[in-house]
Amino acid sequence: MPKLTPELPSEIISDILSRLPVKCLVRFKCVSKTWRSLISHPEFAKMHLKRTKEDNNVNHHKIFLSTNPFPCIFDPEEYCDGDCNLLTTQLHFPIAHPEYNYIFILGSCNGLVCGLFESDPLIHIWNPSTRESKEVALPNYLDACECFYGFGYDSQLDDYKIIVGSMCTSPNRHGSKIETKVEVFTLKSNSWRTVQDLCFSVLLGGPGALANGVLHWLVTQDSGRPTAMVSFDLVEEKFQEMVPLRGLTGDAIYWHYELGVLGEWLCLYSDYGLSSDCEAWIMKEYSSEASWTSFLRFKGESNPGAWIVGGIKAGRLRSHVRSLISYAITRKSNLDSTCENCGAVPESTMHLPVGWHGLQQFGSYVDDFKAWLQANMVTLKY
Amino acid sequence: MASSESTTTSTTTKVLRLKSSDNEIFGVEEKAALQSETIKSLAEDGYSEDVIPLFNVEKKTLAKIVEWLNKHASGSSKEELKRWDADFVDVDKDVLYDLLLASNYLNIEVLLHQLAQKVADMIKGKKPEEIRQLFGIKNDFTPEEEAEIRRENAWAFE
Repeated sequence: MPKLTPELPSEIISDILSRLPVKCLVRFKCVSKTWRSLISHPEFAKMHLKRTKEDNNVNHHKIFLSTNPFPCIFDPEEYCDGDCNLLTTQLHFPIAHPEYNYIFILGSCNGLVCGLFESDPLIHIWNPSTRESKEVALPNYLDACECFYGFGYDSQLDDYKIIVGSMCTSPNRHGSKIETKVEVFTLKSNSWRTVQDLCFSVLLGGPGALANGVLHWLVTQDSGRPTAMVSFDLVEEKFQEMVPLRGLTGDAIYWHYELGVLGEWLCLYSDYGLSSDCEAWIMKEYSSEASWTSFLRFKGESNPGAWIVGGIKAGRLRSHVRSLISYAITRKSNLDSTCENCGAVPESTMHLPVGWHGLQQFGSYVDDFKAWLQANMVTLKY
Repeated sequence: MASSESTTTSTTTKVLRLKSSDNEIFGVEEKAALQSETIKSLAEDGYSEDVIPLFNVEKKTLAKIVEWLNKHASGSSKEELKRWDADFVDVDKDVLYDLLLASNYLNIEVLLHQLAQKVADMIKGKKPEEIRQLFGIKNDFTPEEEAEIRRENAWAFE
């Protein structure tokens, strides 16, 4: 005899649903009105985000690829065909702007990716997992080639922020002076405002690496060698002291340095450009200069234009041959190993589609953008 | 042999008596029973000497719950528990449903998580209509509203 099942309490339903992948959840929005409002609720998005972060399953980490004419996403774990070509999914948005051909990725946080369309500038924030995107206001000045920038989450205000700093050097009596202007965007207000300037006279550039709610940039000397890190706290909206990178790269002189994030660690990657060697370090204890540890070192390999991809895996990207090599170093214990590559074993090689020009790893979370905004816009009225 | 016997007899274990909604009484060692936050607070409220009434749990469900509580207090190895848990949650959906409600009522977090994960794995690839049937949910969308959601999120239905 079929029994009449009473409806499960909504907290149990939420618990069950928070364990599902995003695609499932989007589909289950049409189960009933109750389920739709539950899945679209900002609190549920937070629960899903938390659960996904607890779960070390790599499948939550996908890669956003800036390709022409539409960006696409792929899952490095699942979507390879027999010849290791990536099976990518095109993101047909923003539909109204198919002519934009280059997206500068400003950053990624909590499953959202923030990007700048280069020609006729536009900034968009995507949730590639739910296929949602939102166009946001532009700062007064933004040229991704000359600015330093970053994207992250302010846990105190429950708000997302974009920071853009523009720099120019102006000659004066004592030589030249670096002038900066720093603007911060908050998503809830959809507006930009100027914040306290950088108090050090240094040149910064490119995307900031986000760790512990703080963005980090490398300070490089004329030789191209990084000497320190400058950080920006997204809650305080203040630049913090420079952390020196003394002796990190030893006597070796690399040509190209990049700061990224690997799991919860800041990661510094360097290589000889077109030559052969590359090396990567992680900062095992946040803001402890002594805790920088080399974990990946390759010698004598052809290594053109490689860089670290981040996420919870190390990846090495060969731009000439369009291949992405990923290394499994997901276990902390691997990093304590003393062998050459500290247990980082090449796991897979994938071929990227022709015409790619930028990529960003992001987590796959359900955060319903529209619902989040609606909910937060309402609170703003009070 | 003799020494192991002496160690088991030297510890006196308190037994709590749990009564199901249909009046069946289960004796459970305190250490096992207190994994339930609800039982813990009832015991603290002075029910521990007497019978602890669990009005929302029937005997067939309580029997399963007691089995779980005992196993998880038995000091089994992690691997052994993992195998045992996988078997434990491998039941039909009605039993799963009752266990979910009971572990929620009894506030046994670990069990609740295991059951929620089991249900999540079960429904992962399902269609919305299968979900409604499984959970006994009435579709309160008009056909137009449902078509609209499907159109907006067509990629998720591929």
